[in-house]
Amino acid sequence: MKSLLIVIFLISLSSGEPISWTRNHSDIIEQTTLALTPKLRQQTVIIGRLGLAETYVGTIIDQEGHLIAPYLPSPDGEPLPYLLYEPDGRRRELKIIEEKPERFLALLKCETGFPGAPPIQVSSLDQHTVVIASCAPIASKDEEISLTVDHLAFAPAEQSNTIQLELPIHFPGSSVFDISGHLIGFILASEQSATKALSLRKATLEFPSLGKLLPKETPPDQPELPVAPSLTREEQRELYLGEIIEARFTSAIQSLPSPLPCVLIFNEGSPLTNSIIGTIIQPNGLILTKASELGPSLNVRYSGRNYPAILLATDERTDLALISIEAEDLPTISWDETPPTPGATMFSPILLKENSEDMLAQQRAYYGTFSHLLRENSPTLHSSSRTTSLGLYTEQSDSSLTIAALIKGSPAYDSGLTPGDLLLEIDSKEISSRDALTTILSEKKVGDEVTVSIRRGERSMDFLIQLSAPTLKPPATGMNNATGLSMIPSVWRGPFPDAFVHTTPLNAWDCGSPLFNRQGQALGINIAAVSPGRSYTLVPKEIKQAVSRMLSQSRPF
Amino acid sequence: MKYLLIILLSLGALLGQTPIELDRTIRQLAPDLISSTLAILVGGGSGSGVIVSADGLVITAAHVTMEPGKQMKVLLSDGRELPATSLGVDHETDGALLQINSPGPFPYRPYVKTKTYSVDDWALAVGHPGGPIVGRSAPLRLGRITEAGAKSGFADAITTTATVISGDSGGPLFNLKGEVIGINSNISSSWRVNKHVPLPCIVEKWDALLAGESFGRSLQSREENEDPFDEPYQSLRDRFEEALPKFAQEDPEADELLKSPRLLSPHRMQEYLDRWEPNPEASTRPYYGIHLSFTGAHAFVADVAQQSPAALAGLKKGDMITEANGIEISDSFALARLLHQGGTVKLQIKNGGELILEPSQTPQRKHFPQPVAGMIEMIVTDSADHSAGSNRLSQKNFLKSLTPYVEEFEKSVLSIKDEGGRELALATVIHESGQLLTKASEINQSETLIASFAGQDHPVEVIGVDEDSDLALIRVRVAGLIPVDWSVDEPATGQLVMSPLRESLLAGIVTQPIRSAPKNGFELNYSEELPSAYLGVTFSSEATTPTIEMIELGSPADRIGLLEGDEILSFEGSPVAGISELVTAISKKSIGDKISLKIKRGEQELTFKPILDERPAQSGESFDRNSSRRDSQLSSLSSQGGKLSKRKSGFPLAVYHDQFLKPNQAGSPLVTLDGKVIGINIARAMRHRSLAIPTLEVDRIVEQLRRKAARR
Repeated sequence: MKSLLIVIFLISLSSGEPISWTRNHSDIIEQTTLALTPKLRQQTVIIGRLGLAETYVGTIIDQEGHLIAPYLPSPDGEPLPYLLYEPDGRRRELKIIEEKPERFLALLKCETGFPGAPPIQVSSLDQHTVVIASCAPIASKDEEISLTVDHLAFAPAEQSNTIQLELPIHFPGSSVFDISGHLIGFILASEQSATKALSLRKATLEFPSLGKLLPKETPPDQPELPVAPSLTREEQRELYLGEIIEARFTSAIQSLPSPLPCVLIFNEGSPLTNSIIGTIIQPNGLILTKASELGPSLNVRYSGRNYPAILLATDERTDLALISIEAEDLPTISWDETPPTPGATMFSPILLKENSEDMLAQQRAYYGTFSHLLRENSPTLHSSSRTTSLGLYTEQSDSSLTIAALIKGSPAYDSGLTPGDLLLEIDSKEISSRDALTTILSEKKVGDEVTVSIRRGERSMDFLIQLSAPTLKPPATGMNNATGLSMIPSVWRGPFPDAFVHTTPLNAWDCGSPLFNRQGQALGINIAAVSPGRSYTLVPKEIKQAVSRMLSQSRPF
Repeated sequence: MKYLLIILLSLGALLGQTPIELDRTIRQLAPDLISSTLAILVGGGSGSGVIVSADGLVITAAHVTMEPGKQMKVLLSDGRELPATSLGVDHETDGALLQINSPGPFPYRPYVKTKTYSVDDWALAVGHPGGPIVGRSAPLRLGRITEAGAKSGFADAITTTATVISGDSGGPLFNLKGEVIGINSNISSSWRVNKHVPLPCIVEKWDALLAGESFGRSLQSREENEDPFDEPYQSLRDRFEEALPKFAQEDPEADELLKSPRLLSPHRMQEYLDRWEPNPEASTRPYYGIHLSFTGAHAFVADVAQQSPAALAGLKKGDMITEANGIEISDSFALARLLHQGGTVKLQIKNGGELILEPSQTPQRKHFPQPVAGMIEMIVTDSADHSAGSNRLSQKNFLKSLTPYVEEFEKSVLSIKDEGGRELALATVIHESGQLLTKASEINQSETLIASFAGQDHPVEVIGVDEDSDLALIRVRVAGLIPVDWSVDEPATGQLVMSPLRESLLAGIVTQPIRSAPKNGFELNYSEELPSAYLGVTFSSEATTPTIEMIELGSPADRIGLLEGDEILSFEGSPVAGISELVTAISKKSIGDKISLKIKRGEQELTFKPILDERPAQSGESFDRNSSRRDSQLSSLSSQGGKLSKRKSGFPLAVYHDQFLKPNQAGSPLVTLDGKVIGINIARAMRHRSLAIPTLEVDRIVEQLRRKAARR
């Protein structure tokens, strides 16, 4: 058991001297994540459950349509179906083969199969397993799946039941892959400093129906990825592990510009942990930050000095705020406007509020990888673009539509419709499919009354319902399904205009900071911490437009 | 050992409070301090409080009760759960009163009415960190006063090194006379900065608080039954949605909003509510109604708000302002700063006249932090660590009086290093042949281990590792080691304990009786819910019909003679459809109900009529998501102020104490004043918690490891 642990720490900690972060090493890491991202996206789908806002990532097992996904408790205890969200926005119902709540897993099947999906490959853990990528736990319904690059994992050879991951960014039931893109296990529980995963071997022992579906282990041969092929597997592993610790704790700093064009902003007079980071955009003390985290009066700390600050303007579209302090010759940000490639590495500065001796001195930057761009407005919202709503979820069978669940407090809920009612007509038009329902609702306005005819058992009934606007909810964090609280999400998580998703593990108080590329240029401003390992960053173009809006008109003084 | 006591006594005479006196005082006080401390259960969260009169008057924190006249429950140390009503709250200082609605007498403690405490005094904090836990009494924590404030729990608080955390809010801070001197209020992320509302500032408003008055506005947002993650500010949203249709006719913006799908930020909802339903008590800021433009080189008016003081005075969009209050204005930033301050402003407009503006008031922007679920969140303030300066001397003197212990253990505690010389852990000598105990998960970071003794390095051999306790038995072949003296006495709550660390020493107290330290998520909070009915069987998940897989010992099922493998055919006379239906049906029954089960055992069909029991307390036995979330939350908050051990829970038995143990100091002995070892330090587990494996357990483990090694 010792041998593996040892090597890892020897590399990083033996001499106490930091290992130099060479361009070559970071290139290798980046190349691996760049290569893995498209590969794992083919292997994964977005799933959810009827009545649940948040969506998760499932892993395709075979072309017949089997998939393994996080177990999702059904809202209100109703046995509602799991759903598959297609990239085109359609959803399919999934058959439950078996649920294993105590392991947070569900084995599901999509009746139409996954004809184009690559066959899954699995590996067992051994001393040499390096987990470099695993799936981010939560996604929005019409987004691409973001992948969390989570480097460090190892298991003792003799009892490989669990895997330890070193980043707190996972939800139970999510799949874990090794650097070759082979499935090796599932997340069990997440804690503040570590995540535990169930090894595939143990999972298949406990979950025989899953075991039957999975192929034989693929022998752990040389990864097919561009990871310094001249090195032996052992050398590669050491390189990774050394690299990883280093990247996490020390070297990220080297990618940050110095002096850092960032300040800490405190909500003065309020006793909560509510500092936030600001990005300096002009040397005369003009600072950008996240508007919704700001209170009545502000205090800025830069380079050990405190400055009173005033809020000049806020921008509703971006949730940016412009604040001003009386200062001169501050360092300012320089932007990189080229869109990053999925898998690219990026860094976010951590500003310590206190200079505690106990604090790990190296802990100065988070890092993560670029996932994908958010399209304006729609993707962060779990709702349709319709303007009217009945407030019900339906279940489609061959030629009829049944009410599966109702949103509490919605007009349909208040009128007395119940799950199980078969929809017959709305305003005398036959309703037998979701399309028909969508069409008729799109012709109505908020406040219109419709007559909904249903069949309940043997009886036919009519309900007069006044349509409301659909209830929108802030983007789900998925934290309600999580076993551990590993981060605090931002209060305001969108919708945002042009922004992108990355896996840098931010908390609410880390927002307002610039997100740097490896050259120390800012790719944007971190605008929301959404869920563990899922953060949003505004792109420079949007930021510049917002700044010019705010400069041309302040809030009223 | 005798000479030690003599030294202690003589040193103590110089210092006022000897370690021995301190130990005795705290031990004597502990039961009374704990029995007067209670947990307050309010709206899904929980805080703490202290009873200060026989008829049940309680002092607590304002951020626990939030508002006067609210009904809540208190959980006493004897297990009684009683109704209570909040009296006055003072959000300015964070003090509050509460009345238990039940006839006394209750165990209570006196409180100080004036500032009778000063910097360097010892203080004891009590409360329910993480909320009340099934089977745990309120832990006691010792610290020094580093700032002796008297006016408020925020700006002029009593600051101590007695570590408190979420759930402790509202709990008492005692002096060594057992008088309440403060109320746990807020912390800085640094472990050494714990703030308490000074009693004098509560006493000052005593009559008003007794009468149920409310002062100031709550700084913390805690909405009951709110989903803190996915739907923050649900109640604000509800208020907004309720107001929206009412104002749709008079406010075109409201009408527009009503007709479309909407998702507004809390700030915007608050702005609308401020506009529609002005709250006269809301805090305000000066307002002239001037929008500025920062684009030009001069100060330009971008717009003037309708009906605002600026509009009424005749200021126009596009006006350039050259002077304000007689000072030249170079750009809009300067003007913004001036307007921000408020007061009468005299503006000189280019090519225009002079305007005098008198500001009106507009609602102040609010702060909306993310609400947090579960226990009442400990407020985290950010302030400098003041423990460094003033109290260093007395702390040094106190520790100096304990230096004999360091010398005493010089040959009994070794430092374990990796080959690079980095200290991984300490190790305690248990046998002169060179057997030592240390922390397994700290030393397995390195293949080559080195022990330093008497200035020389020696190789370390690992004999065995006990996974449960995380203890490793190691061997260092060197002469001159002295094994420690053990004590199997159960440590008393409040007992002074030390950890000799070779060159230095830590001191603290035992915070609570020995108990297990369950893994993350396995320690259940006391719940207001009624305990559910319990039969004591688990069903096989592989069988399609409900077949008993396991019967818990002593359960109703066990007592009546149900057997593993029995298949349940019917419940209460009707056939059983499936496992989940059966489980649901049983759970709907109450404790004491007699149920009827028809079972199939081999070829036989039998009927049993067990009486359902109360489900036994599950502490440490089952995983709970909420508990897991609570533990992560506490550990996240804890780790902001310092480093926690990697393996910090999941020990079958542990001594809980409050020393500021560092992860690489695990493996050191935990020593009482008579120089005996009561346990081996195993983890810095939380801000408020260090753990040691107790002697009896150590004994058993060492025995096991030795036997295992011998077999090999």
